Amino acid sequence: MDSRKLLECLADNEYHSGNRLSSQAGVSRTAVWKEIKKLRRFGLTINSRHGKGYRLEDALEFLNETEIRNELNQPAAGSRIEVLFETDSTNGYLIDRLGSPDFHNYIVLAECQHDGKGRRGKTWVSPFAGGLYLSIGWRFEAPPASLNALSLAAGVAVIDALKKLGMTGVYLKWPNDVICDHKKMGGILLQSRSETGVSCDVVIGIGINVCLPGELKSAIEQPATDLSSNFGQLPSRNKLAGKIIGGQVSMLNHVADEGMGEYIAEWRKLDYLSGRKAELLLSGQSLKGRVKGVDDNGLLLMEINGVTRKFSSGEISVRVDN
Amino acid sequence: MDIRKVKKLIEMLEESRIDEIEIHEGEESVRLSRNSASITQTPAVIQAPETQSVKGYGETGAGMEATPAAESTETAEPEENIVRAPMVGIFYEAQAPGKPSFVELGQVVKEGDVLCIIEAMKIMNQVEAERGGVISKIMVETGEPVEYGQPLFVIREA
Repeated sequence: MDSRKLLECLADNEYHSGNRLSSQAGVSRTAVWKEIKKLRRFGLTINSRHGKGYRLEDALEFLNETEIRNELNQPAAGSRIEVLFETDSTNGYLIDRLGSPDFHNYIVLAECQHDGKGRRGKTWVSPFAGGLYLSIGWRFEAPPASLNALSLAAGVAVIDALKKLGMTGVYLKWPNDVICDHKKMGGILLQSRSETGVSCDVVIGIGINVCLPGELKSAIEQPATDLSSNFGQLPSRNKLAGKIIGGQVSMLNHVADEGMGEYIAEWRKLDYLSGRKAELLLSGQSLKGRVKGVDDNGLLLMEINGVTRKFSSGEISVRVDN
Repeated sequence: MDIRKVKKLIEMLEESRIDEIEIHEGEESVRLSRNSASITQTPAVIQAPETQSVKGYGETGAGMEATPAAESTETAEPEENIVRAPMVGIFYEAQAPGKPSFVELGQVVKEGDVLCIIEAMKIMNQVEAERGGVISKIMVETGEPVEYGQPLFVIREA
């Protein structure tokens, strides 16, 4: 039995008896019960009540290609969009297609990731429909100078999309953590493969917390937040997806032609860390200093013992001094 | 510099296969090196800094447009056998900690096989073999910063 079928029956957040679910799906009640268990593992809250059956605590809106397409801007009209019910990770899905002819402008979304990827094997918590998980495959035939700054430009484009939907007060922590109320609300991970001197394939993976169950939020190792905690009226996930995809595709077209300059300038306006005391962890070493923004290539500038130094890697966190 | 820090550095050096390490902290700097010819318990030597380099551990130089690293330490390996870093960043031998390395010493690789990842600004860049052969040398440790053009691997014809 497939989970999607069962979820579609439950999506309205009414009670459905096990008997009815099993006849609708044409499987035994035991199979229904097993599926319910699986859906709970995906991060869905399903109530069960004796004599009434099962109910999804929150009504569910499925991602839908047509609805996403309705929200796209012109530049993204030609993108290929694929919506998956579940996958290990949307980035991994596209990484497997690196170098293939259909890789360019290929966009994948998933309701649920079993092995959502963060930096260096860290997990991106991806409960079913609790967030937006999407990846974009893009091929630069002639990669722009300082292509690494794409990491920052992708962040700027996410914030722009949120602003268009009325969500402001969102910042970027170098290079591209999406921060709201001093907590992480979204993350971006890029993976690339370059062939020296020729084209470069890039996968941009974006994870936005939309509505994380409380117990999951507190299980994440760093302070986390979601859209629903910060903004009253939330747009549908399809609308959010459409705006974010549109913003990324516009950005990718822009930087391919014009370079990174404008996006670096925008990034500086959204800089969460500039002027703050921070600690940079780099190859097991801790460096403490004050953040001085980014240079024109998007490298982190940090003043350490009176000397401003540039960094291209490292995990940075704000230092709170008593 | 705190003597405990220096001690820690010595321990790190001994545990690693690195021959030399140089750290700058503001005005102070320390360089530790050892004679790689003797394998057992060579005490690390602390030397006064000889250069005015302002580069730190994992720090980028002039940014992305750095010049290829000096090759004084390389033996006469034909250039076509050397795989060089296509960018400044941190070298990783595996997809993630705890995962198997992309390649091991002595492994036969073919063109297009992933050799390592170099991370810069949260972009994980896969470096691939431009031609097939045997991995004869791995010149960088996982987690180490690399400069643009720095030799990473030697791949000899199988």
